[in-house]
Amino acid sequence: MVWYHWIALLAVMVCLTGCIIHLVKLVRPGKPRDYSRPAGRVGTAILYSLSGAMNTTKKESAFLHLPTYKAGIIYHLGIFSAVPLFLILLSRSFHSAWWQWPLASLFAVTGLCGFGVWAKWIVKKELRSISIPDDYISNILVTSVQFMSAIVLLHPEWLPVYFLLTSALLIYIPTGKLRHAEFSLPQDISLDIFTDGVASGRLAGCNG
Amino acid sequence: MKMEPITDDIRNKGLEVFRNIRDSKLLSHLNSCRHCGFCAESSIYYQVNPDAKFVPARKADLVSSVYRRYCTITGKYLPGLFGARELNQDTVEEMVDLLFGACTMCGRCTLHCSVGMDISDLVRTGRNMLSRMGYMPGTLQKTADAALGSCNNLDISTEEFTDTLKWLEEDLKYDLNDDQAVIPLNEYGRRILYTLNPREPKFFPLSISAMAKVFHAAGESWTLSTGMYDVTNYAYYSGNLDEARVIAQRLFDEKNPTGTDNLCCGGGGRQLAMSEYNERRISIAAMKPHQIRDTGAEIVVTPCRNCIDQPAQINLTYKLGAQIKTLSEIVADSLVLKEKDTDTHKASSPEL
Repeated sequence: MVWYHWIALLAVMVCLTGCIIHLVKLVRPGKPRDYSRPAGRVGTAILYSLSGAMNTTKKESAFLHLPTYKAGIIYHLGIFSAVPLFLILLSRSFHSAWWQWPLASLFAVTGLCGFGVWAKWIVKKELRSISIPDDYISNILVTSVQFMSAIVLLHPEWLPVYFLLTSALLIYIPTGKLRHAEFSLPQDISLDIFTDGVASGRLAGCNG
Repeated sequence: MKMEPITDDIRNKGLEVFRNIRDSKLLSHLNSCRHCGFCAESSIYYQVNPDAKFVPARKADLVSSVYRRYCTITGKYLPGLFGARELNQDTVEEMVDLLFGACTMCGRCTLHCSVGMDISDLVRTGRNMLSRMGYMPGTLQKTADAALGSCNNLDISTEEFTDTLKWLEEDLKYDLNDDQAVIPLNEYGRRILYTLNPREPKFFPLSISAMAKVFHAAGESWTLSTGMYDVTNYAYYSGNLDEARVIAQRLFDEKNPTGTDNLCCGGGGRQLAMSEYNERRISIAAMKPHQIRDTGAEIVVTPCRNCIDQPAQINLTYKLGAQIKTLSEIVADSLVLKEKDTDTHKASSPEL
């Protein structure tokens, strides 16, 4: 373990602590009082919300904004891929492997998608008006980590910068917009716990 | 709209909503918006007038930003960075204008939110805050007071209601030439409790006759109640939407878009209770004439009374020349009842 590993570990601790505090706050109020009769199957709704509901033909918000919607999906693919890479780089020494180039290319593409979304926020008046500085900072941090993931896979000498940037992101996650990952996942995954089954089924367009 | 200046006491009444959050669902929605703006076109207000203030995410963020200011550490100490807003006069005025005056609560934005956030729930929460602070639009407050005092939002007395039903029943018997044709009231043990929009007994009593005729023809066991219920938002929240559509499709075409993608059926009918926003309500209905003209329809059918008043106004304003009717009126008009002889008159239900 070298110094930047320790900083990264500290950042992970801060991030986890913040997320646990949020989770406790989130779970404590409990399930909303439901006056309606249960309808549909929660399992089917969850499955649908994580699959079919993301189909680009399903929701108006997706098919009216297709390029941005697709860019957003790819961007998030990069985010989910960056997590295991971070854990691998944190837990073992870096050795070259066959997957370096394909993975670096993937991160370059996902980073570009993130940059595209950020640029759209700058250019479009409507988006500027509903955005706050936190939105831009969050995007810059996440996009930078994806670009840096691509760089570090091909140039390991950048590892200190990679870990410092990732640590900044981890510390930032519980503070602002990025915590949506924690707060909105229960909507998708635990429909029966945090929302009423009837509404969730309808939201997902699912008759279960 | 002239408003009373906000004081600390008034502000605290509004913030109570956040201090007593009783379900995880609301907390989740308060923290979930990505500000992607994909919801913009789902609002009829934005469709007619593409002003950024009408984007549903902006309305939801009015509520979330106040939450961040008073309920999160980052919002409290770095409000500029995290978009946290003071609950001051400007915020309240904007909230009243956008949450009451620029939202029909149709739920279309919620349905189309790319991450499944319940935007309507946040708007409802914001309205709850404003209501606690005493900033509800005056006409809506009067309607709510009437509903609390007399069980219906038009303040119709029980006597007035029963008198109306009495003469409607007499007319029904005469029209059908059948003494068995009745409009039952407060009958226990009936299979169906039929609920009315107070506008029906007050302004459109013939729609009650139409429904009674349909029930009579079907031989249904039903009753009305003196505790009337306001059955607005029928199409979104009733359980038998599909059945209503099947009945309607036998007679007419639907407009496009349809189903859950449809625009608020009157293009703002749920704003009728707030005359403060009449001009805006009529202006956002501008997309409806195109929808109606595209079908070539001479008769437009909508499911409930609120949704019929708005198209009726659109009909006049945009000179559509169509007839606006409820589903029950259409079905009642289409019924051909078999003539009965005197013996069968009293014995059984009528036949179609």
